[in-house]
Amino acid sequence: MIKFSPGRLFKISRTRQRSVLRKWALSYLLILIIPIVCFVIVYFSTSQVIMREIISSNSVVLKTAQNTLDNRLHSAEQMATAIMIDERFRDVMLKTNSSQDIIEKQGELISLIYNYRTTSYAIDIFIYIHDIDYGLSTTTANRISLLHEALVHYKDSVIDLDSWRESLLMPTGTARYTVSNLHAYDEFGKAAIVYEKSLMPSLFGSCNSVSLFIALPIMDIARAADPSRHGAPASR
Amino acid sequence: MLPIHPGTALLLLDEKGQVFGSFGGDFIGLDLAAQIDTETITTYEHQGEAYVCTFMRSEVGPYTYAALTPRNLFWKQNYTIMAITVVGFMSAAVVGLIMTFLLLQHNYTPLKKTVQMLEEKKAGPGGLVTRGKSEYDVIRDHMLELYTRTDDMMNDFTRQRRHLVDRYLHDLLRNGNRHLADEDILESLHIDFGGMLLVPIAVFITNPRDNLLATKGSAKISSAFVIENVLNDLLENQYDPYKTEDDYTVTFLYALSEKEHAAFDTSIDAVLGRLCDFFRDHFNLILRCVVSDPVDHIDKLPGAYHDMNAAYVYQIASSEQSVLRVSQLSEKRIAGAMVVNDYAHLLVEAIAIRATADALKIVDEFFVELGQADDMFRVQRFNVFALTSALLNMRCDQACGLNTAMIDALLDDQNLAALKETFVRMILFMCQTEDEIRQEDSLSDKVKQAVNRQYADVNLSLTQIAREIKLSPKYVSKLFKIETGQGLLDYINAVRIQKAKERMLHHEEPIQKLAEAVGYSNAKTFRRAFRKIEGINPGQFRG
Repeated sequence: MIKFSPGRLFKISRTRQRSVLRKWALSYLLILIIPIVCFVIVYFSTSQVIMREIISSNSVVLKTAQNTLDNRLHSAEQMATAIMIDERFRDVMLKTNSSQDIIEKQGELISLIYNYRTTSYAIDIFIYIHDIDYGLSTTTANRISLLHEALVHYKDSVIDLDSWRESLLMPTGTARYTVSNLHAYDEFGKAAIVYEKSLMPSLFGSCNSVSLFIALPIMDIARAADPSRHGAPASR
Repeated sequence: MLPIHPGTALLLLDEKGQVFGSFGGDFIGLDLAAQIDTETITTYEHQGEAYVCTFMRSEVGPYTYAALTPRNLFWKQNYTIMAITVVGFMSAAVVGLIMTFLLLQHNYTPLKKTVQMLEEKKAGPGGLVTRGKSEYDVIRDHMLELYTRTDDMMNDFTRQRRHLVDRYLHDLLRNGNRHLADEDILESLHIDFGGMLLVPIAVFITNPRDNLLATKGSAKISSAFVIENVLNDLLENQYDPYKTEDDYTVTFLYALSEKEHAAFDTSIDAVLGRLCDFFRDHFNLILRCVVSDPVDHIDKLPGAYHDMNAAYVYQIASSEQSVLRVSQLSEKRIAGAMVVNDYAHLLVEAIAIRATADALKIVDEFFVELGQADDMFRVQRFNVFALTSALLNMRCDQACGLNTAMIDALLDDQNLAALKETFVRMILFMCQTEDEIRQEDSLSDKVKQAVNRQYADVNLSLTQIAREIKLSPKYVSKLFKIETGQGLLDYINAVRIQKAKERMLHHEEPIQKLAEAVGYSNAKTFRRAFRKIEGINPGQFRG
């Protein structure tokens, strides 16, 4: 085994010819590195600039989407409140105690929520009256069991009656957003953002327990925030 | 800002970070819960593609909006940047490599070839040592060695050259088979005295070792042989080696080495005299021969040539004889050469500052010294002529006014007093010339004359004056200010006010008329100028 010794190394390096070729080549290559380094720096700085631009443009897109979509969600909330405090709705709900009374007034109620739907972004408005197990949509009104049968036959629904009825039940005085395709009748099966709101006890006292479902179509919402439709903002 | 990219997907996320709605791509069910809370720029890998994610929470519902932009797609769309970067990178690399190769080729190859050449030349024992040395070291060592050898060679060459001269002279004296008009010896012994080329035809040197001049006859034979050779050259129309600056004069320089060659010294006058006659008759050339004092070594030749030069100058001045011996001039004259130079410097300085009295005082001292030397008149005249020659050389611009008649007058004088009188006239002429030159060159005087002539002209202006003396107004204004320290307009006003004052002393005329008479267009301007220069009003001056 050859032992390493500095003297041996020194001797070797002394006897070897010290050509300037290596030094020259090294110096020239070092000079060559300068433009390469410059280009690498330019590349990475460009990459960072592009990244910032992506984030910036995305932020603008998101801000636009936020404005548009929040406006729709807010309008759904406003519409739910408007329906709740609508005199015609309140009259029916406060003054009637039997399903027969509601059936007599159902035409008026359908017309009412139909009008609300047509003036909003909602695709469906559905009202479930717990006490009499009765449902109202923008086109029809009937007992939940009959409505479920219709959904099974015409909308190919696979959800059973109890499960559907359970999903329609809401604690009194609550409101929330859910993503569901069950809380509608006319547009049943379509994925939608649903604003659910139950009747407020303070407003309706001991009247019927009612749940209101306003469905906003997800695809329509997404399309509303379509970046290509909005185009490029004028400035950052 | 860049336009919103069409590849950007807009996602709707529920409160758990699950995507429940997407537009621009199928991202339903995607779980972005891990990315949603990061504030920095995040990327998300989905189906092998990287996306830049940006989130924004809804202010109404429990949802989050997200924008996903595929990075690669973005880059592809902006491939120009990428292309430029890549092309630039590649170009830099390729050009750099080529440049590196060329530089190495250009710089290293000659170095390597030089070392190889040196190695080949020095192959064998004691050859070039390259181990442990760079190419530079090898070449530097070689050059150092070469320089050392060259230095030795040069020393050898100098010794050889001296030896060659010695041998040549030996041959000349011993064998008489060569003459000093040969080009190599002419080059060796050539001395140029301010354009006067003195051609040596024979130089004798005492060399104690060789005892070259053991016999008197050898010198005589050598001299005759040299003269014969020169004549042969001239007969063959080879004038060039013998010509001086004067096309019609051939000057020979002749140096003797030992005084004891009395017989030769005596005969040389007759030989050279005949030679001069021969030149005049056959070639229409004036041959002037100067025989120097002897020198005992070739290194002392320049000193001898100095004396010969002085003698030559004298000979030209006197034109008395064709053959002149330096020894005919006294020892005093040789020492006086330096005195002449000192006097020449003093005179030049005096002439330069127009100190005529000083110049004449210097001339007096010079002639007093000449008289005290108790030389023969010819030597005295030589010194005067030498002083004149020095003045001509040093102050050629002032002395250019001297004509040949003045110089010839020096030759006509027959005693020291007459010589001094002529020389004083010459010095006075040079001083006067200096004054005239200065006067003629004075621009301010011309301007002043013009102003004095035309001060009454209301339209007198710098342009008008400049046009009159044919110079540019700017130049005239600047030079006048430099020469007089006063602006031209100030000078014009001063002259006008002076003239006005003179008129006011002798005439009783209205201010308006007076102003117009001295070149002012109105009385107001005149009053202002008068008050500025005199400090009082014209009326006060008159009163």
